[in-house]
Parts: sequence; structure tokens; C-alpha cells
Amino acid sequence: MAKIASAKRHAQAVFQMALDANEVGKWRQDLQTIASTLSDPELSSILENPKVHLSDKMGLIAKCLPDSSQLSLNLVYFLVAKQRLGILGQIVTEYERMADAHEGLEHAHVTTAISLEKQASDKLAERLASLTGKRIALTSDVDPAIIGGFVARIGDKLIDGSTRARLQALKKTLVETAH
Amino acid sequence: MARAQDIASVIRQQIEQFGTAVTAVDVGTVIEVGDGIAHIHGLSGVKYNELIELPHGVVGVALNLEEDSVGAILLGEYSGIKEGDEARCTGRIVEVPVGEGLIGRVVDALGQPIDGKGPISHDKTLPVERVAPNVVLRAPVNTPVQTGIKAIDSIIPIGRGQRELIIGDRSTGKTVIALDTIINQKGGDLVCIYVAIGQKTSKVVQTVATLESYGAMEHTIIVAANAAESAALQYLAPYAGCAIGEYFMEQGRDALIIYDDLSKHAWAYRQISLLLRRPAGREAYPGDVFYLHSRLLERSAKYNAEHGGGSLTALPIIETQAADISAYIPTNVISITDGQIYLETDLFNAGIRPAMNIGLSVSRVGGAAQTKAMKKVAGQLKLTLAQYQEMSTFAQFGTSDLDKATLAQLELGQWVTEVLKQTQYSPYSLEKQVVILYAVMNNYLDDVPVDRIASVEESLHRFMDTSHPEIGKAIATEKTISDANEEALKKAIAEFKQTLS
Repeated sequence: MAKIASAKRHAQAVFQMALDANEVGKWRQDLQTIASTLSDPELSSILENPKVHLSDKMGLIAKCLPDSSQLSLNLVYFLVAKQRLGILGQIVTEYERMADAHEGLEHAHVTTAISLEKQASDKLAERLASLTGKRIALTSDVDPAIIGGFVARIGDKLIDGSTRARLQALKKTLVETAH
Repeated sequence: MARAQDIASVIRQQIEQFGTAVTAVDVGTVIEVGDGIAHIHGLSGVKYNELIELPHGVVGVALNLEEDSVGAILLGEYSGIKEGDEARCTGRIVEVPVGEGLIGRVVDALGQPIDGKGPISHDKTLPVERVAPNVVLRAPVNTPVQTGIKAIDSIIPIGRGQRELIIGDRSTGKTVIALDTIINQKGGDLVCIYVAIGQKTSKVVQTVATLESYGAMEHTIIVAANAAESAALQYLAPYAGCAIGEYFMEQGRDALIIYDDLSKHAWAYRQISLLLRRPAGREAYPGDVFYLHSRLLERSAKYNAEHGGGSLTALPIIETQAADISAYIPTNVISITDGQIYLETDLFNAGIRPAMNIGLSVSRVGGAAQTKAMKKVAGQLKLTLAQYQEMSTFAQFGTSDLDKATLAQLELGQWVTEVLKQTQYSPYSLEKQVVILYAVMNNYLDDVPVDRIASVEESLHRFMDTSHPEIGKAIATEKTISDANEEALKKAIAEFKQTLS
């Protein structure tokens, strides 16, 4: 729990910087590059090695990330110096969530019993967008166990329009009336 | 047959309206579960105290609302819940069924029957957490709760709507006072609710059996969250009992609620708080442990006539450790209540039962509720006993050097102490209490040896019942001793003394 909170604070700081410089999109790309570069185990083992001097680590980072801005390099230096490289992945996730919220983008996940056609999924995204008042990035999967209808999850909200849920509700009310 | 028809039509209706409404609900994921607590990620729209639905029909109550997680207590069996399970908001809060149908029943902290006598018909449900009645609705205490215990009714009377704490070490007779009070309400208008918190199941069964054998279950509801049940249910039980009592109070009726005991309730809440990682304070109790009990006991009230005039009297019980009434929870509850009955092990072992310490026991508002008849005979009682207890310390070194007045006080004190002794489950009616106290306080029993007081008292009551029943009846109906009745009483006692010699 404490780690997530820490990543959140770091992400907030980065997001503030990005917002001030009006470079939210650029930072997102930078962070993704940094995360994928530093996920290399050989590199991260050097960066986490206490025997290697910080100035050497900094030189190495600068070489590995030639296209990054000075500020994003600073972020990595800072994390390395404070030995917080482990939360980099979470920082990126949190940053992306904040950037999405800022851009009014909401991720929705839809489960259906049979696979959705392009037309239907577009229509569904449109409908969900009008419900939430945000743009919707739709992902979907198929689960025959829900029998029919669909289950949509947008952030913390769940819209359960599946036949399975209705049958369960019916079962519950019937059991209650029988008592 | 009609019932089958009903069911068929209900089912038909259900099928016809099958699955119409689809609504969005807040959901979250269980990230940690154990010790009756679940930490849930998400649930961004959850409200404080809201019920949360988990798989396998388990429900929880949201108690900690944090930035991106929720700490909830789980009600009931939670071993089926695992990490990653889905949790849903319900938009409801914990409610218990209330109403006439509960009387005579034993229910759990959620109002479900546990006595095997079938389902309970209830008028409606009430939330367990409610705000106490405000000033506009209330009236001062003015009617007594007759406990049937001589020492309490005479010295520290309890009024309807009062909160009187019963405090003492283990096995000093705390529960007995509560049960005597319930038994004494037989045939009266008080509905009694006994809330057992964290007690041994065997003891609760014994209590039910006792009440049944004295015919007291006919006006009693028992709410039990036993030691084997989760801390969450033990935490909820007193609030549930209180909601059940409030229903009667709001109907303009009088109810009595006993919380046995609030020490264990505080323990249950401490467990929950520590598991929810709330900061611990003194004796590891959380910061709001005072509010835990104050909001519960504030709900006991006396309504004024415009609002029905109902009342809810509370008798909370606190168990002290090694007679330490200055521990955290005892001091808290003492300061919340309108007085306390303090029971002591030493007195109990000395054969004084109820083992009440007269000096430390008080009733701050009950005096206003005492009947005139009782006031007349008991006015001097507390003073007499207090003086006696002080002097008896000196008298231990020998009484030969004492003056006559002191000796008389000592003797009177001995008789009064003897008269106030009472065995358990034998409550006395108001008129009997008045008669015996009148006799002893006016020195009619001077010549009776102390060890024979109990048997003489028995025969006095028998004599009054058979030869002069009208005197007792007059006291019971008028609630006072009229001059004519007092003369008759004097004569009757003199007559009784003749039979003794």
C-alpha cells in the first residue's frame, strides 16, 4: 500500500511538471521509453549495484537514453540516487492514469457472450461515452459464462446487463419470497 | 392452498418483470482479507457505514475510506472470500427488524432469530446507527423503573429514560441485578431488551432459561453476539439492541435495555480498530472509543408528552479488573451515564448481596422519579448507612467506650444493612419494600436480633398479606403513604410484634 502511495506522489510531481510545460503527451512517450529501456535486467542490476558510483550510473543512463529530455533524465537520476528505481513501473502507470483523466479519456472493458462486431462495439463505446461524459477507449473479451447481454466496467463503475446477473437476481428474489 | 396460489402469482410477476432495470454499481477488488477485515481496492463511490456485497452472500460494512482503498468489517462467515474477489456497493446501511414480533425471542446482532422458533414477523426495519433524540423531543425523568431490589429502589432509584451504570469486578452480581430488574417487570408495561456481548454461549443459554423459568421472557428480547462470533457482530450488537428499543420508545411505550457488558464491546471495537490500522491510544483503544459509548448511551431518552412520552432506560454493565474504576473504559462510561451502582468483591464475600458500595454508588437523576411513599421511608437511609459504615470501622476495636447515641446508630445501621440484603431472583414489590423500610427506620424492629431479621421480614410480609392486604394495596395504587394509611400501618406493625413475642 505504502509503495503505491509513493509512486502516486512521484507521478503527481511529474504530471505537474508536464502540465506546466504543456508536454503531457511528450512526457508519456518519454516515460514509456525510459520504462522499457530500464526494464533490461542487466542495466537495472548495474543501476542498483551500490558498488558502482553514482556519476558512472548517470553517464550510463545518459548514453542509454539519448533522445530523452533533461528533465526526464533528472527523474531517472533522482530515482537512482534515492534507490527508488523499483517503483518506476508504477509511476508510469499512475502517470498514464492521470494523463488519461486530464484528457477526459476513460478505459472501459466490455465482456460479452459472443464476440462483438466492429459496428456494435463502436455503438457501445458511443453509448458509454454519453453515459459517462468522457471519451471511451474500449477493450473487450468474450466469456460464454455470462450467457447473454454484456458486462461493462468503466473505472470503478460496473454496468451488469448480463443474462447471468438477471438470473441470479431472479433466483434471489424467488428464494426471499418463498420464505 | 391459498398460500400456493400466492406464491404462484408472485413467481409469475417476477418472471414477467424479469431483469428490466440495469444500473451502474460501484465495484472494487479485494486486495487483502483476514481476521474479519477486508481491504478493498476501488469502490470509489462507497459511503461511510455502507453495506458492501461480496461473493458467497457475505456482506461487509465500510469503516475506513482511504484514497484508493476501503477497509471493511465482514459480517458472518468470511472464509470463502479471497484476494481478487469482486466487491459491490449496495447503497444500503445495516438495518435490523423491529417490532412486537421480537418480544420473547432470541436474536443475533442482525436481528435474525437464533432460538429455533421460526422466522420473526416484524413491522419494519430500522438502521442500527441512529442519531439520538434532540432536546426538543425530551422530557426530564419522572417515572421510576422498579428494580424490585430494596437497596436500589430506596437509595439509588432509577428513572425511566435514565442511564444507570452497573460496575464491578467479575462475579460480584452485576448480571443478577439486571436479571432481577427484568424479572420484576413481569405483568408490567416495560419491554426489556438484554444485549449479551462477547459472553459464553452457555451463559446466555442459562440466562434465557432463568428468564423463562420466572416467566420473564414474555416481555423480553435477547440480542446475543456470543464470544464465538466475529468482533464485527459484537461491535454491532448493542446498536442493534438499541434500535429495537427505540422502536418501542417511539411508539410511546417504555423500554429497558441492558448492555452486558460494554467492556467486551470496547474490546471488540479495539480489535477492529487495530486490524483496520487506526492509530492506537491509551490502553490501545482507538481515539473514538469515548464516542463509541456516548453515542450509544445518548440514544436512551425520555420523550415528552407531545412526542408520545415513551422512554428507553439503559443499564450498561462494565466489568472492572481488580476493582480499578479509574481505568480508561470505566471512567469513560461513568462520565457518560447518570450514575452508577458500584459492586465490590469484599462486600459480596461478607455476605452483603447485592454487594453494593453505598458511598460510591449514586443516581444523579433518579431521585426525581422516586415515588412519594419510597421517599418518605428512604429519605434518611443513605445517611444512616454512610454513618454506619464510617463508625463500624471504629467499632471493630470494641463498643464498650461508645456513647449511647453512637451505639444506637450502629445498631440501626446493622439492621438496615440486614434488611437490604436480598437473594437473587426474588424481587420485592414497591409496597413490600415500603413496609419493611418503614418498620426498620422507625425502630419497630429494635428488639429483633440481627440474625433473625430475614425470617422476621418474611413473616411480616406474610402477616401484612393475610391480615392487612388493604394497606399494601393503598401504597401500590396511591404511590404515597397517606396519614390514615400510616396510622393503619403503625397499628398493623404493632399487632405483628404481638404475634412475635
